[in-house]
Amino acid sequence: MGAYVLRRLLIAIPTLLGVSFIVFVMLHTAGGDAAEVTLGSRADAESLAKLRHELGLDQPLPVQYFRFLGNALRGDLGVSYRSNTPVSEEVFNRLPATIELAVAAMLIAIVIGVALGVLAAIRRNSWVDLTTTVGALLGVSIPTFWLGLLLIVVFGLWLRWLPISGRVNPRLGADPSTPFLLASSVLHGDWRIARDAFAHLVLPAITLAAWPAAIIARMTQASLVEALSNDYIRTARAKGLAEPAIVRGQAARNAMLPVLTVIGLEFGALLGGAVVTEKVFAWPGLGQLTVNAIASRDYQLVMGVVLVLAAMFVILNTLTDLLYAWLDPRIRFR
Amino acid sequence: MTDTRNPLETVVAAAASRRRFLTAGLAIPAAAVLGRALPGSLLQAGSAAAQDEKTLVVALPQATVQLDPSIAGSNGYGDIIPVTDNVTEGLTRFKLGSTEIEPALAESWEVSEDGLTYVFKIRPGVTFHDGTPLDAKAVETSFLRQFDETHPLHDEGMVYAGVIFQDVEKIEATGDLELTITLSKPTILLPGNLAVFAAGIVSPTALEAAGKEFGQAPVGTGPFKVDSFTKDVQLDLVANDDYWGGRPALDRVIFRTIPEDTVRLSELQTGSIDVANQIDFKDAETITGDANLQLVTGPFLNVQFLAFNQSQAPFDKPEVRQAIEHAINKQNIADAVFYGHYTLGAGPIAPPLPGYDAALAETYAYDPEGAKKILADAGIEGVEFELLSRPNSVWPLVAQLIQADLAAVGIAATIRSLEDAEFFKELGSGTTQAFINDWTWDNGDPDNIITPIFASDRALTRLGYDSATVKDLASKAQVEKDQAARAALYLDAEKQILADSAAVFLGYPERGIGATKAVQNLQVSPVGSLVLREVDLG
Repeated sequence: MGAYVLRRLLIAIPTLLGVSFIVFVMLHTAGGDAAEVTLGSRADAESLAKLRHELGLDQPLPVQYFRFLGNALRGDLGVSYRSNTPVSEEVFNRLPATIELAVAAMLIAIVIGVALGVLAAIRRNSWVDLTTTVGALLGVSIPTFWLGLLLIVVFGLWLRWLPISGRVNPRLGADPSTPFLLASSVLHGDWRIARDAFAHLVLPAITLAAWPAAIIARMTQASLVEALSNDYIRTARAKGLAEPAIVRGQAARNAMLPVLTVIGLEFGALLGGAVVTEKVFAWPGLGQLTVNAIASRDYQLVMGVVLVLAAMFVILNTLTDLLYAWLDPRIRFR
Repeated sequence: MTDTRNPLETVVAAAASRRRFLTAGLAIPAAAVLGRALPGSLLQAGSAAAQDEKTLVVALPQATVQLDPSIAGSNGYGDIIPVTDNVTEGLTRFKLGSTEIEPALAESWEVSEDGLTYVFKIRPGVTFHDGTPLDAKAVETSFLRQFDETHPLHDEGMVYAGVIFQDVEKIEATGDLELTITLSKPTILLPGNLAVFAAGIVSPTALEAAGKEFGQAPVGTGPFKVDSFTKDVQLDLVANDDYWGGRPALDRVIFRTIPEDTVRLSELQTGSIDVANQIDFKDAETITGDANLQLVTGPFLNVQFLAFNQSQAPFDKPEVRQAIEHAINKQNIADAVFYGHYTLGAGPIAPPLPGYDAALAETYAYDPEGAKKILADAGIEGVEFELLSRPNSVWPLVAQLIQADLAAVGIAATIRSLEDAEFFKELGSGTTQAFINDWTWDNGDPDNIITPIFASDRALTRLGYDSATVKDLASKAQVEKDQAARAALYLDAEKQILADSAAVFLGYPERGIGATKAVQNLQVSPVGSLVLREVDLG
């Protein structure tokens, strides 16, 4: 078991190296650099050369890459060109907002996805099944951008039930740099801020949950249908066990294993993939940071964000695998 | 080996050990992060009296990453311009809503007979937000860190130094409250250049103490001081009680970044924010039709143009350039893109600057038949080229309208859209055939476009344009003291640029700000800043 975990973590090293290399190459083939963005219309050859020198962009690419790698190994992700602040600080300042959003979205996705998936499986070919199928199709095909704006216009502007953007109403005086604002306000017992922060979380979390909820619903349905066709279910039915007990006690546990994998993978994707949702809702997380960093060719920042996200993805996958094996005694670590 | 536990026990045990694992694994980092917020309060310092405060919430489309006025931010500069004039000030400034220069931190100034020496009298009794008194030495430090590349506080990101200190030879504190600037050429541009946001004067004490981090908590003399700053997210300013110009009416200003136009507008409609900067004019009617909202508009010193690179075919042929000048329907752009909030293009200089003359539009009236005739007379057929554009803002729409107009006269333009970084790289390479772009004035002087765009090395690289006449006129205008004579020189330069058909001047867009009716005295600044020193909430 220990050896298995260690091996999984060791495999992460070449993965992260590969990711960093690919991202580095992609960034540099994208064209244009931080000096060009900074100077914009006002650029001339001399000022470009000076700024490139200052930023170290005049070094050969392999030198730049290995310098980044060497520093990263020592835990130094460099300094952002945009703000002159350390990349690690930028990333970890923004990570909590993204985690808060991703966790909320995942909870919504799991509740809705599993509930609909189970209903669709036990009422096969009924209207519930059909609705779930159509709903799942919509969930994966509606553009996040459009869904976000729709929710904003309906619930924020027309009905005025929920706030539209940001993490908290700035007039309440909450410090916007608080990591895990909602959790912190609950721990502080500051219910005024907690209520407001919770309300701000609802629309972006629903927007972000649409895709994983759809995937989880389809996976739950398919997996449960398969589980229900097993011989031991037939035996259980033959023994006269009630259908709800069969589903709950026998089929569901087995059917949940692939669902768990999907949840793990989707959660990793949510952490790195909230780019559009964060932009629409002005949610100050990693997604927005990444977009701004790419647009301004802030190589250091992009590399830093990608490395951290890739590391989290690897860790989440490893955790999912471990949980999977824990839940299914037939799986053993080798 | 057999497992004697039943499946349920297995699951429960697994769940229990999973819980232990998760608790141990996640509790430590979570506690570390939460702990940062736990010891004190969640509230920002000084926000206890928030209930009775006059707080103005302003939404900006741009992200703000740092606030040192002299350092260009990520999007070139656009990100700090709206906010910075409220915190830092220059020796001079623009009168509200105009491009006229008035004294700010300099009470007055004198120019020597030969026009080469400027002596500025620094306003007495002014202190920076950190209590440091303002004196000539402080101004000298603020300027030298930009001007002198060997200065210990210099940074290569100070890209505006070339604009502000154009033709400056020496900067020196020549008395407690006297600063002398010596020029190499008697240009009259200095007072205007010193009003550019990047010439904002900052506290030397804070500069020394903060070093590279100064941009995260800048200290100036402005009507508002920085209370807290969360990069990319929120900037909180509070009134400077000791402001030399009198305490502002607002107690607190909160700048929020909301990139999406629709979202910014919705927030304004629900009253969550008081001001939405840079409104998309398609939303102008929504704002004017809402009893609680007002649309604040005004001229903005910006010109949009389609530029040709004369060193590249087919634009080495003047007839092709002239035909395109006649082929583009500028009124279409004004209607379809700016919903009428657009002055049709004449020459490079935007209204109301000296040198602007609406009659220049007649040089190339919209005349598609005339355009076809020019091409036919010159025996030119099948003109094709690549039009470089950008995927953001109004550019895709403008590019498509131009493409359609050109197709109507038999010219095939292929639009190639590149985001900022690649776009400017291409322009710098000099291989672009034609591009659409705009130019926003840094100061309120006509020179700010004629010299950098049409009479510099950049003109040769990007436009393949090198006109001795324009260079000569620009150079004379820089030192001409008589305003009418200056305007005439710039008008001549514009006529030459148009005669050479170096570019099609599409038009001058307005800038729109959406605000709730309660917001008073808000004006559009021609250089794009959001000046709040006289704004009040009714």
